[in-house]
Amino acid sequence: MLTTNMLNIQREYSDLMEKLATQKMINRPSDDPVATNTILDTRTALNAINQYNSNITDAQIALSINTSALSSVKKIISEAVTIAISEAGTGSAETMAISAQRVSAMIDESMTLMNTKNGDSYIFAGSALDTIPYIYNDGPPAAYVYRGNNDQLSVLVGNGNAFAYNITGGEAFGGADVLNALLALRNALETNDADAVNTQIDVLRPLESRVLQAETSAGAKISSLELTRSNHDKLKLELTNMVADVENAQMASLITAFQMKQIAMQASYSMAAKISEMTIMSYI
Amino acid sequence: MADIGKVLYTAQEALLSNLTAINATGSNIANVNTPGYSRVRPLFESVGSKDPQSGREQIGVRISNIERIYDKFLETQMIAQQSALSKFTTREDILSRVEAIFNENTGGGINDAIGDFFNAWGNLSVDPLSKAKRDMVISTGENLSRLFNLRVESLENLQLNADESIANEIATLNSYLKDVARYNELIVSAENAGSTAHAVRDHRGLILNEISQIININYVEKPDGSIYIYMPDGGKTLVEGFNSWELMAQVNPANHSFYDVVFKNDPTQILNDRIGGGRLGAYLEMRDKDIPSYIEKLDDTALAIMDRVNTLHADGFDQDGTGGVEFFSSNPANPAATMSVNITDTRRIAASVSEHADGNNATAITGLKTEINTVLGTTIDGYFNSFIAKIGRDAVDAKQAVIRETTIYNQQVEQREQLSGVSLDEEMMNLIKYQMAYGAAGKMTATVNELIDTLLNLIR
Repeated sequence: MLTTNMLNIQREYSDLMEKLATQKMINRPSDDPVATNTILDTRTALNAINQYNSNITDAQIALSINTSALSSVKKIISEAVTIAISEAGTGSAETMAISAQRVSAMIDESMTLMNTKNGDSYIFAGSALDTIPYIYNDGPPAAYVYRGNNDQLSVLVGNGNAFAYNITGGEAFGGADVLNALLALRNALETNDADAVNTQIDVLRPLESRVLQAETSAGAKISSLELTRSNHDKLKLELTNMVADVENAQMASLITAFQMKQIAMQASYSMAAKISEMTIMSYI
Repeated sequence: MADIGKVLYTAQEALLSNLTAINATGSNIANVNTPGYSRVRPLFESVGSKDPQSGREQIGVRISNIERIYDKFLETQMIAQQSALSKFTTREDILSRVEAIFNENTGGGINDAIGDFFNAWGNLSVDPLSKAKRDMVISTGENLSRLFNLRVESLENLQLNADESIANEIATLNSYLKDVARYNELIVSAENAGSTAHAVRDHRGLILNEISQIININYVEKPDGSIYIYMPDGGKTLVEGFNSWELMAQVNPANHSFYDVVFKNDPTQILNDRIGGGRLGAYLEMRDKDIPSYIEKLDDTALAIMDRVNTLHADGFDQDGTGGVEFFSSNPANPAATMSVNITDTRRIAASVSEHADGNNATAITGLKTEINTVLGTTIDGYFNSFIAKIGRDAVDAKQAVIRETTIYNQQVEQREQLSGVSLDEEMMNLIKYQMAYGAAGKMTATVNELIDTLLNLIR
């Protein structure tokens, strides 16, 4: 009986030692099966949240690349409108020739911006990520062509919450409308056609506001994602605390329990020693 | 009339009886630490007659019997308890190894691998043309498959260990059964000849103890001193008097070529279901019930992942706009053990729902993680996590059973110790008692001697 008691105390003692060493109440499923289930489920949820946050970051990066390209294109259009207004009013053959060259450079710059890549993907191509979206077709008729599509790309940012994050060329630039409008402006300038230049002002203005709208929409998406992320972070904190509550050892109570066990063990040892001293042999 | 010779004879009887008693005490003291030893007690008995009419009084002493202090009922209980205890101890041992295999609490297990795999799809969904992210999908898929393979392999190894233990236990059991039959023979012949066979009985008790740790048994002691051992259900005889029937481990091709327990002389009758206790009972139960149920859960989880991922993947399009193939492959007979990734070329990963390289199929596959699986009735993770908790519960149950059965057994041991065990204090007191009686009898002999001298001097 004495031995059994001593072994029991020793087992509980080493149990406490393990908990103290790992600072965890649960070191294997059998320590607390119900809590193990909770911990694993919570860890699964935490893992998913981390993934959602990482998806959000990726989508935000793509969107901010979109935004800066859109803002540059918008500036180009607005500059083109300014040129068109000035040339339609007071332009001479010389100034128009110079302006035509400037617009020509602006077309190239716009095309580069519209063909912007994020990593390996063309961001304005819709779902045709690996297809260069804007090319010049010699014709006839010579024109810029949009080869992308208007497909939405979605990313999971929450349980069952697929978020469409891309801005397509169709949405932002009316397909190849912007480039072709700039092309028409350049041609009008090259041919000294003030009326045609004037006409392009009315074509370019709505396009400018279209790009602005796309830029605003991208910005709104970025902040909406940010909101989702901060919700995730709150939940993450709660879940982390919950796991910690279940899993982590309360040091104060563990140490107290440990000391109590130590006393119990000493008591059982000294009792064993006392009992073995007591024998009739000492008296005969 | 008193007779001086008779007095001398009585003194001699007293000397001899007390010497025998001292001898018995000596045996007890010598065996104070011998396991299974039942202490002996000399029974003194007065002999002779007292006849008041004739005035002749001659009462001597003798040792009528050296009794073995022993409680048959308690021994039977202890034998049954041994079977229960050793069964649960073995179960606890195997379950703690199962728990070690599924060390999900520290991370790096299947739970994490499932997360990593679906996360890789999530990362690919936002950057579907990235070679690095496509590589991650394949490598996390391979890692997940490998973990499933390894877990099943480890469980199967435990099954194999249990199977080999079954064969070993049967071999040991057979030799014990033979021993009991031989001890039966020794006891019957010794006791028929009028002597005692205490030591042999103690040995037989120990062997019986060992047998009950291997297999649960019923036994009866016959009036001639031999014991008969039966298997509990159906009462198949293992030992009958001087005969024993050997068991045999027989390969069963229908059950993974594991061993069945059969009688050597009747190999058609399979005894597996009749063995519910002892280590054999635990090994059979773990090998044929518990571990297969764990493998089944792994199969369920692996199948759910493979089915859903394969379906979506086959519906999608790869980087070249070709329709997707199945992402995972496995043998339907043992899916978790044979799970592997079917794709080596990253361009074959069907991340898009259109012929273009969109990442929307990857998004859909990521969503499987939180989908309520119709076969499992819960999410894949949820199913697996509750399976881990089940292993924990089984281990806790076994641990608690061991504590419970040990407490009962220890109580019985305590009882047995109180009854049959040797107390040195008691033996020392007895020794003093017998020594004094011996001394007194010796003194009497000396006195009688003086009386005879007196008589002889009268004649001189």
